[in-house]
Amino acid sequence: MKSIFYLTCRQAKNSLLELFRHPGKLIAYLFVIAMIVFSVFTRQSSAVVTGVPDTRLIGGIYFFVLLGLLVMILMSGVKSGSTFFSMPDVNLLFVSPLRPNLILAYGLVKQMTSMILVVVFLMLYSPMLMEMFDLTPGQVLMMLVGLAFLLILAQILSMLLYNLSNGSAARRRIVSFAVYGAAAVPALFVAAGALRSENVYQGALQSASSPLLDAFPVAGWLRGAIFGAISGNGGQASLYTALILALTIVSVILLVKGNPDYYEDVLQSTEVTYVAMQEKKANEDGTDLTRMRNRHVVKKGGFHGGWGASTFFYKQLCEMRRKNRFGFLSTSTILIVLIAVGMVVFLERTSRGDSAPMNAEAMYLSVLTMEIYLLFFFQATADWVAELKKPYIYLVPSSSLSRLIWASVTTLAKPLVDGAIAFTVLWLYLRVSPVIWICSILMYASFGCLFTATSILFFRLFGQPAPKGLLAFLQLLILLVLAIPGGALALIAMIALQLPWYLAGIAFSAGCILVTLGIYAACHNILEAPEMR
Amino acid sequence: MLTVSNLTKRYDSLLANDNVSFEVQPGEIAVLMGPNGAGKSTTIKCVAGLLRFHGTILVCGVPNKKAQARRVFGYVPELPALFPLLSVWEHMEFISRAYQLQDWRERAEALLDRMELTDKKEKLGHELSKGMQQKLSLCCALLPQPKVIMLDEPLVGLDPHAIKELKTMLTELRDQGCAVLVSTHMLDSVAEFWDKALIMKSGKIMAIRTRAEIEQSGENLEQLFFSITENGDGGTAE
Repeated sequence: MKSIFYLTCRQAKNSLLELFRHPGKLIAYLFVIAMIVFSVFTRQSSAVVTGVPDTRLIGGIYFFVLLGLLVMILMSGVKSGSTFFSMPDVNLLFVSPLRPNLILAYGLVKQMTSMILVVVFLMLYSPMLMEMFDLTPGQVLMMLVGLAFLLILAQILSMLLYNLSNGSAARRRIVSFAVYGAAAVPALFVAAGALRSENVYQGALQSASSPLLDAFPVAGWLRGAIFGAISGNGGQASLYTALILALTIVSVILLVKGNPDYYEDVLQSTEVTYVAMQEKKANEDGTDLTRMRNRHVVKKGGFHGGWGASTFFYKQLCEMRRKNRFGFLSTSTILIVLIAVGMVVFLERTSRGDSAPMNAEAMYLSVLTMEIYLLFFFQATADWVAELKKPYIYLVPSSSLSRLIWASVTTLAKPLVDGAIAFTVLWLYLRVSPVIWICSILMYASFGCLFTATSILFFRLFGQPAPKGLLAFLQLLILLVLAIPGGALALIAMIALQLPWYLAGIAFSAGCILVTLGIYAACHNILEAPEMR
Repeated sequence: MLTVSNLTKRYDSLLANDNVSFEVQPGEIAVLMGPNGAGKSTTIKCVAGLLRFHGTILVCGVPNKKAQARRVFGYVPELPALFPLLSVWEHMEFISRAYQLQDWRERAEALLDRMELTDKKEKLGHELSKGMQQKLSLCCALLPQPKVIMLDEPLVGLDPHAIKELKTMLTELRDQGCAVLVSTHMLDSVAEFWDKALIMKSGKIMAIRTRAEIEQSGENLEQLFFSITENGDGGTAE
């Protein structure tokens, strides 16, 4: 017990000291936390309390998010075992004379700590949830704690399922069918409710928020507990909290008592996780190697072009073809199109009953905004970022600017291609003006340029192009600063020239392009003075 | 020729390289030795142009970060850095295009042949074992026929055949007038072919000895190394 306590305390203390050794990081974390607190409490003070909020929609979404995560974790556990241990735990703790249940408790505590970080990260979305669903910060926090609790419980349950099904293909199949079958029940329940009703959306909403779903184990119980508390129903909250706690305690007891030799069960999955992390560290280029595992024969090889710095561009084209045969048209393109169509359908359905339903142009603008927001996250795996992880970009004998430009051409072109496809589909569906269609593609592409420029500047300032975790907020601040010229042009276009939003958007795009050119010029030598650790 | 003068590199409060100076002449194999944490890897990364530093590093008389210097410089990193989605042959093609090489195919074939990678030409980078990745990394560095080549722990992970070939290649490079710098802490692995030994400790070059000096003085390289690295004394940088 003493050794585990020592290990936990030491790790916590050293993590803190590590932060103090890097005051820049510490300040950034404090700044981000201050921003979260500020945004949450500013919203709270400005909010008008209108009584008990309508939680039907958010309750339905919450249930299915919990259910989806639960099924994913359980199935991954059934297939390959689930783990919250790391290789040092396996190598140093599992072989030690410490009691297995003590080590399990240590693993659980570690997992809970990481879940606290997940909750902090998700808190960033709390102002949006509060705004959209009229919730208080406390209610949002309860939802996030519920989510974190599910992530821990799901891993314990998946370890149990693995123990149950391990070693027999037939048992594994039965367990898989059982998990999928059980998960299909609430989905079918909601689908049936939607089809029975005249208004499909209202019918689905009614079924998804039904108290019957609260009786569904784990996801339903958690929703019942959280939303019971949110709606002030103490009895419901207590009942489901008791159920979920009882399930957790029983699961842990079963895991420890039923199979004290759980080491073998977690060893394989720990090794798989470790190898995946090492590969990710070694390759950190956003390449999904797991999808490439079984391709041994390269049928069409060669670059078909490139000389000096431009070789990076042709190499990236070659890699794109290897990832998928359509080159620029990748999974992300399909995802962007699906999100656009899905969002329009959702907006159409939700606004149908309103006194003033959304018009096509407003829906088009909403989808454009959402797509631009998502584009920001796609930039973390951009091709030019992957190049920085290998030494060649620094070694090739060409000017730094030419290497930087050629290495980022596909990164700049991808949003243009994706935008052209997604907004053409959207335009055909919504039948808005062709001018809006063209403007939206240009706006989307120019935001791609702005995001790339932000990464380049961040790399210039901090030596890394895509910061992880909460430090991403610093990058967001740089983005806001770089967006100022475009914003000013857009404001002039809208206020002084009285132009419509899409033409103001073009003014914004012009600003983005100018800023991007400026950043390339200002950071022309970043590959000559790298700090590749 | 590689010239490093007053190289100083600091990571926050850690002084990784403290006024490091040495030269590697054309047709000379220099080995950079030192215990773990001596500053070898930092020196290597500075020479490769991967880190910012104070001081001067010249490759054939040109600052190491200039394109002219990189054109004649080869680098084999300790951990092979390959593109997972390029085949073995495409790595050769990539280097030839990026370095703007003419008539490279025959040389590439010969290099792959020597490293027993000919039958792996169509394999993707991520499909290769660690040893094969190391061999391919070596081929990438050698394809542009560098005048200065630097290898960071090049023998780690190689099979006996590849070790033998690499040693032969290094001596061939020396005979062709190439300046070779090998970083290692495995003294035995370089015993047969070194010309100059650079011994580092605590971020400093503690001793520089040529093979001739060692042989004349009757000094033993291994004894010198341990006297410096374990007793904190024993020789001065020249």
